[in-house]
Amino acid sequence: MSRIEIRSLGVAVGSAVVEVFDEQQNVQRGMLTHEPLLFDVPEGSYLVQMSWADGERSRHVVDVSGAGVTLELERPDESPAPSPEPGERPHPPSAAAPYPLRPVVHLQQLLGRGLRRVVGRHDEPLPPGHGDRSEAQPTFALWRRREGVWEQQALGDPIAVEEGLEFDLQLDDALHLFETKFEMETGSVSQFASLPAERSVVTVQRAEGGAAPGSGWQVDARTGNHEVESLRALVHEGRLDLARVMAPEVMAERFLQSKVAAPRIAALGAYVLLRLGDLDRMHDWPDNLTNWMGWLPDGPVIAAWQRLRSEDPDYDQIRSLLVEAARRGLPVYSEGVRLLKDGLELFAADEERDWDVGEALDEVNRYARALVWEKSETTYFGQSPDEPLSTRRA
Amino acid sequence: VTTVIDRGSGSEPGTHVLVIGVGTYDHLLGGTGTMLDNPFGLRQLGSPPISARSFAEWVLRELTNPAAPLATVEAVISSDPTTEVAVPGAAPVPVEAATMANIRAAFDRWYARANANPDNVAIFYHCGHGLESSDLVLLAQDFGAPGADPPHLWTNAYNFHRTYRGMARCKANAQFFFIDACRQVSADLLEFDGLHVLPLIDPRLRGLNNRRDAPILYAAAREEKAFAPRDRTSRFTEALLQALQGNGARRSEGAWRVSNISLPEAVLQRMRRGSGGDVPVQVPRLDGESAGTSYIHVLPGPPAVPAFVTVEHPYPPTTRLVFRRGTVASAHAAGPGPWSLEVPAGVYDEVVAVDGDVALGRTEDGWVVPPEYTESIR
Repeated sequence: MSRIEIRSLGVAVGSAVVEVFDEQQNVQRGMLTHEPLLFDVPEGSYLVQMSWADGERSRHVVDVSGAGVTLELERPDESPAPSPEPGERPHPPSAAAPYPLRPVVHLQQLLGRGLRRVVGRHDEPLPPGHGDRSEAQPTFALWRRREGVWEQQALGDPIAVEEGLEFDLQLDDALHLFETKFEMETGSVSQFASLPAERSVVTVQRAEGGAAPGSGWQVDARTGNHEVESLRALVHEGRLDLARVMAPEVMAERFLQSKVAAPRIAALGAYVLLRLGDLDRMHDWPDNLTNWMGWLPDGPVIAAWQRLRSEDPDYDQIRSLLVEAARRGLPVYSEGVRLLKDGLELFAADEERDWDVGEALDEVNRYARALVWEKSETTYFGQSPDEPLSTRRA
Repeated sequence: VTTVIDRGSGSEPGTHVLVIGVGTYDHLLGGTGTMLDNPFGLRQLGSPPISARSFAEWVLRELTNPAAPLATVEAVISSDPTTEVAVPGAAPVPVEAATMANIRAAFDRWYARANANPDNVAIFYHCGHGLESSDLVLLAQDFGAPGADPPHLWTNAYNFHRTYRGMARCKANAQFFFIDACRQVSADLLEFDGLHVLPLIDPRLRGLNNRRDAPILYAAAREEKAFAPRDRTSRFTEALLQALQGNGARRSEGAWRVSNISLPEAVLQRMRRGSGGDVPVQVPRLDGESAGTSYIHVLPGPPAVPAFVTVEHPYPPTTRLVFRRGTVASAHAAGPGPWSLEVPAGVYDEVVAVDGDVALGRTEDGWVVPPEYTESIR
């Protein structure tokens, strides 16, 4: 047996998944880390394929004989900054959005015909100096939830990016919302986007095809972390074989064990593991997330579904976790809202017992009706953080 | 209700397929029945019957899974005239309409069979109109029929999301869901949340199958449309079938197998390649849960892989691109480049652009691996 050894030269941990194909196209996979990555193989010809954090792929054909070959990999055209270690709050460059940004906010559709004229006005070209808050542009605010109450926070100055603005935000341990407020002749309405990480990058741009009626502004919140964005991209693109390799290596090991550094990112990793069915790899980390981060609804949602998908669910415990999640507020990620809603509905429909979840379910549904489900970060329309749109229209 | 085939798998594992296609809607625009007061701008559709028939006929003709051989196919398709499904070695089978009653009856039979063995594979396919808010609701042919008792607009529609959750009660560990429908949110439906639309099977708290691999492939993202060429197979179903019989396969355990893990990427890539120019963007979405790897289809040989080969400068029009193994040309395409073609998966000695006997350029990387091959000729 020979060996293919792959070493990284200045490559950020977790920034590439490696696949080694033999001539029959049987495949072995691994995650490139600081440690050499080893594949035991018979002598022969192999294709080594790297899937990089930015979605690009690179390939090497190697002939293996004797003791084997060593590949030293470097990504010369892109060298992402190292990811934060547990406990740190570094400030690396912005990670690129993992997939083409799309005009997911269709104001006219979501808010009704009354907005058509206003949406048209938003389509006008931005005036010079994107930071100007003229009547034609939306305004922005940052909200923080403290003991169940939303408080407005100071929002730093944005920087101008192509056809829009970018806010780079450092957040403490609490739920945060980014508000984009649209003024209309009939009043105002806001889009509230949950901020997905301890360092969140929010871009506000005119939507793709902005001249078309019904399109408007695109507000996109993402993490500032290359590995997370890479994992999200893999799932988004259906590359589940690679996501399966990456999720436990990067998300679980790196973030779920982290007590304080990145609880929102830990939650994101746990959602991926839940979806891929890697329940064993989650260990008791969802419980830790629940107990250590008393402000984060996603922790108890994940812990509840980890139990629901186990062999012998403790329904009392699951019910308590779901109700606790609803008490903490809306989960940071849409997937969490979906799982919270579905979980509470299962209890509400149970024919064997009255679980008394009606109040929690009503509260979740109040927001669910206003949610922009296509966004991965929980995003909804409303008058204020706790007045979703459907409340106003009722 | 139409059982197209029933090979009676008995206690042995088998694949059970339910195909729903709705092209005619009695109470929507252009329908033959009493028009719904507000038809939400929804019209008759040409593609769903064709797409549903294509899917059913591919299953009947091609689907191979030694671990769970094809056992039953249920189909309900609404079209004018009635759709007939070709069955290999038998007379075509005329299929009954996809009314709500027929959909429910077909679903119940399909569910009962799929539920009989944990090693069964259950395949669910629906093509037609969909409306979405919190949940996706799929419409039957008689959606909006007057005189429902009690009067309820959504009587003849079903909540797909809750149906999916309800399928967690099914013992089949492999469950594949293909939803070829628009997922638009109408401004007229602002207060609609799908909560009160019944599923085909109710979700339950207890007795869930926690070992199921159950991907959902949606033809479109939320709030987006799904497209089809007029009166032809839809773009999504076309991409799905190409991926199933081609680049959705990976080499595993000595065979080329299509799984819940390998199929989504192939479908998404084919759809992405098919957009652009005059073709509107359509972005399929992957959803659902999994517990491991389950197979839906095993290919008889290497799959066809989409290959995209570029050149720095176009060659003469008489140029040919050749994938060569030894002296054998396994695939080729004519023209000055760039080229797009389908190439059998494998390792080629060279990929070369030739004009007559003259080699104009080549690439040494001849490894054609699913889901697609991209290279440059220099």
